[in-house]
Amino acid sequence: MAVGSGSHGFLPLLRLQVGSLLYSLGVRRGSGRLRAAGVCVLAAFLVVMAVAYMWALGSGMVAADAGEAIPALAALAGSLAAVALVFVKAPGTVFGCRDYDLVAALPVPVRTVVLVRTAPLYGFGIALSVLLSAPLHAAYLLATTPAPGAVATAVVVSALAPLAPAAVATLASLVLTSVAVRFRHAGVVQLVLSALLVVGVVAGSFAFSESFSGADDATVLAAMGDMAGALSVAVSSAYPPAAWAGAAVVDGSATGLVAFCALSLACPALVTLGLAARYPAVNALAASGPRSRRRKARVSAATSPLSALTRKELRRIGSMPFYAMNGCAGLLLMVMASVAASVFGVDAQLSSGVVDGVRLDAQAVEAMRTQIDAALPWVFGFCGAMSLTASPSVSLEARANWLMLTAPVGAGTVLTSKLLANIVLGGAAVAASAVALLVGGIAPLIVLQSAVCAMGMLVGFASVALSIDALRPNFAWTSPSEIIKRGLPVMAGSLGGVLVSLGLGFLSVTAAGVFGPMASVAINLAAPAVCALVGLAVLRTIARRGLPGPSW
Amino acid sequence: MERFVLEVNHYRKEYGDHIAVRDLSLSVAPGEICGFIGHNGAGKTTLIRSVVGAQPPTSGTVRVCGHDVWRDAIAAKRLMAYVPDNPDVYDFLTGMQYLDFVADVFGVDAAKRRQRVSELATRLELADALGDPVSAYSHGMRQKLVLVGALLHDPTLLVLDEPFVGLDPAASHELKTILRERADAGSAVFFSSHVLEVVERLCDTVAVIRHGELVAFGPTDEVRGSASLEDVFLELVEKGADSAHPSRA
Repeated sequence: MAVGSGSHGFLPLLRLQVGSLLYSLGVRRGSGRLRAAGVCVLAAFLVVMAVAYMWALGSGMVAADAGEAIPALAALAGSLAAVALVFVKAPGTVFGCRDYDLVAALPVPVRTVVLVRTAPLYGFGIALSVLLSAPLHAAYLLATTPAPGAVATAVVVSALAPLAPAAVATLASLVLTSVAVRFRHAGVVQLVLSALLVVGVVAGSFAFSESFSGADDATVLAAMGDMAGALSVAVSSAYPPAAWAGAAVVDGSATGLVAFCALSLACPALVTLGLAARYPAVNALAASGPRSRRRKARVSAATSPLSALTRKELRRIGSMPFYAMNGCAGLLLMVMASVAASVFGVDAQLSSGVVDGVRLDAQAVEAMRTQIDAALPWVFGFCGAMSLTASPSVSLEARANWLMLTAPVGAGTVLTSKLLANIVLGGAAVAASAVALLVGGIAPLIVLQSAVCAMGMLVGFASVALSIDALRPNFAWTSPSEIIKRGLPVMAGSLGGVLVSLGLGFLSVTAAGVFGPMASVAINLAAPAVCALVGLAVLRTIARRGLPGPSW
Repeated sequence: MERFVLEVNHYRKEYGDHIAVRDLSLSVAPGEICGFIGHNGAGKTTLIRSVVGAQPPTSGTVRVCGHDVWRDAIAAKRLMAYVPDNPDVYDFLTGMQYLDFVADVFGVDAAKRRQRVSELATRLELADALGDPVSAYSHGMRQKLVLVGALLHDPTLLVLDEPFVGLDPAASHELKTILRERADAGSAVFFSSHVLEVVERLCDTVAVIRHGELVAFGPTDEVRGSASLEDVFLELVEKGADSAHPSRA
């Protein structure tokens, strides 16, 4: 790779990089109008949702008399979005690249290569920042008398906000990746930390809701205003550039604007130059594997093919925190809900305002006892239906799919092992939840219904999603998120499962009201079982057709 | 005992309008090493993937020891082992976990797998690395790992796609020795390669494919005649092969 200056090769490489990023996001050239239209509709939907949410947040803060905290918060929101993007995409895009040797051999200056690798990340970061901070700024500017030039300043701040954090995140991501690739159990540690983070966020939101228990709307609004003010102070002290941005928009501070712009432009420039100066070493650092232990490993005891295949699936889930967290988030929520129900009691939670949108007093809870008992199991059905590790498991075989195809086992065994791994994880979570509910004094019949709902929905929709994946697997993915987050099997399985859970929950509650509690018990026990049986029948049909399927 | 370990009869594979392989028939007898050569895109990997059960033929049959690979798949697959051209295996396993996985799937008991892993990993100089995750392996080490896995259950038919790519000279030499040992023990070996010198020296029979058609097949000495295999290959593949016909099918 040349080390001189010049922009030779910048545009071709940038086109390649943007194409690669779009490809990883699911945009394929010549992939058909329907798919392109679907991607556009989904993107538009997400944009509208994000804008609406941020607008509501900004309006809420204005209503809570915390409007002046908005510009700082907007800068922070834009920054955090870019940080998240860079953390996910920098490894493999900026460093630890598979195509490093190919790029290194091109007669292109190193600085150009690094710039090309980072530019799309900064670009997407800016787009995200504008998307998230523009509604907040709009809410603020419409509600106040802005300082002269405040609109232009807000635009500049929105665009520049993600640059410095993205640059720092690139370095932090490099350090973390360098450590992680050397540590054999980094995946497990990451998984545990992610799980703890989810538990913390959910517990925190419960605690937040509980702190407003029994309060009227005016009190809640006032408390939120105080909280937003405190947040503004915290943001300003923890991240001074947000305070500079806030001062530039709110007070028209030229010093704040200059400081913010200088930092936002200097950080990416310094990081780009620093990476360019050490690019070969940086790549080697991030692309190397764990240190060889150079000791003889022991052969394990023989086991059945199904057991070996299932163990392999579980190891894959454990080695990919992103996959595990996506596939097991519902199971985590299920256990947390059970523990919360056990510790605080279902009635107390319903009457405390902890559950958003549900505000019942103790009398109302008692009056709705039949409906509550009918609905409760479907909370577990809902959690089970969104915990489908089996959904992308055929596609995850990727280039190693030859092992699955040449193994002397039937397609049924291969597919069953993938479902079984899902059931093992689901079963453990359901068992833990059932124990927690029983310990908390929940009636055994409700616990039984909850367990049946969770497992029935999990088995049914995991089987359907797995069948879809086995019919048309995507082995050509470049990033696991393509199939774990955005694949058709995952979408169809999880969304279908969640919708059916809600529908059956509604049916159960209605039946309890019309025909009495035994009708809901019958629905809660029979419907998940039917769902599981239908799913298994679909999977069996696909397995009988064998692997590879006709559409591979 | 079956006369042939591998029998391919009137094999044809189409991808949409494109015919990758047309009406190809060949066979490999017990104790034979058959080399499969052809230019890039000739259809070698297409046929090999159908032989090992990874891709169904459009028409024709593939039999291993009399078992149809597509109608009696499990019985056929139990008898063979496959080494693909790119040794992609599960990165999240260690080398030993991978070998345990393969041994379990092929039903190799603990005593035999202990003995086979020890012997093969030592011969291919992989024993010290088996505790490391596959993600830390080089291409050559992965190739060795897949080879060890393929030989664990003493396959009657060993199918290899470009097996010498990525191997160091010592491992390459060891692999040739292992392949000869397998053949001497009565197994059959069917492999593709672009290294014609290796094919010429190692193989009992050779099959030459051009644009999806078998243009020569028979004992290596017969196919090459008095010339080198390279000369014959160039003549058959690059200058046309109007007069060349399969000598055994």
